[in-house]
Amino acid sequence: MPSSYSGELSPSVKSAARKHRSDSFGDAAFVERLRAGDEQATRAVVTTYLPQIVRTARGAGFSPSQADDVAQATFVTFLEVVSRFEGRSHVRTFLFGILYRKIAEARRGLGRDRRADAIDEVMEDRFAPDGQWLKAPRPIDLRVHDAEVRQKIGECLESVPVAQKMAFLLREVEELETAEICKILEVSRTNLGVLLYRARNRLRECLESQGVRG
Amino acid sequence: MKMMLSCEEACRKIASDEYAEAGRWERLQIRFHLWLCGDCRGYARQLRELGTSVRQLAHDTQPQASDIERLESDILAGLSSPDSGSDDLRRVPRP
Repeated sequence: MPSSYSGELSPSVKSAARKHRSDSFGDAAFVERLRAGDEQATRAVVTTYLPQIVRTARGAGFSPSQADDVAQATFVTFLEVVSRFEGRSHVRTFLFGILYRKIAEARRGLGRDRRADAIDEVMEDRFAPDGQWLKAPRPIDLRVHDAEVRQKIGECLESVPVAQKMAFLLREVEELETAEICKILEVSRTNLGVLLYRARNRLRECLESQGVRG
Repeated sequence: MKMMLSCEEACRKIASDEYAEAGRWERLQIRFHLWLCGDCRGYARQLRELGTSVRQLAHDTQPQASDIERLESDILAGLSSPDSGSDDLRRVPRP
């Protein structure tokens, strides 16, 4: 087997294994300071995670100014409830959990995740009953330096339901570990697998249907 | 135990990140399948590149440091002065 296959599948998973940059945030002493409303500790959390929170809100399809509002609302809620934070999960997990609920609230009705999803049928139709490809994947355009391609990726991302999109962003952009994403989204590992499967295939199908120019 | 996964099984395991969590035998099965199957190899590569592309896009459109600073001071404004609790951030300004 060519050696290039190793690592071809999931580089993001490998980097997800990187240790948290802010390991001290998990200390009992730090959590205690946070709960007590210690200004320095709170500042550290805001400074550390604000860029990630804003980035994820933007990735979820909010305009820059909306994303700022969502981020601000996330931290306001965080400050309100932090006194009850028990430190059983990492503070980042706690924060992203709040963000996820804010995003889901704002997007209610736009795309709830149903048990059956149209993408599952699309995928079934791609395979013969024996599991061989019936319609093999065609090329997709991922030249991100091309403005038109960038816009198409953005549009396709927009069509992905909230929970799937969040699973995808937390995995691929924020490169969080499986266990943490499960806690943030409050889903089982199996469920996260389904969300990622649907998100990736929905995006791939959407981009494939756009074709490749030139 | 079977050695050969179908394309559908292999793709499901890859797209759902099952590969990452899989034991040695399952990994071997998936890699063996990819070694033999160009279509699935292409599919796996597309998904990997999709992740890389979206990550790059997200980093490229990262908010400016100055925007982050402004937002940060808005959020922290409620902390520094004891008169204005964090509730102030939520209060809708009266006309």
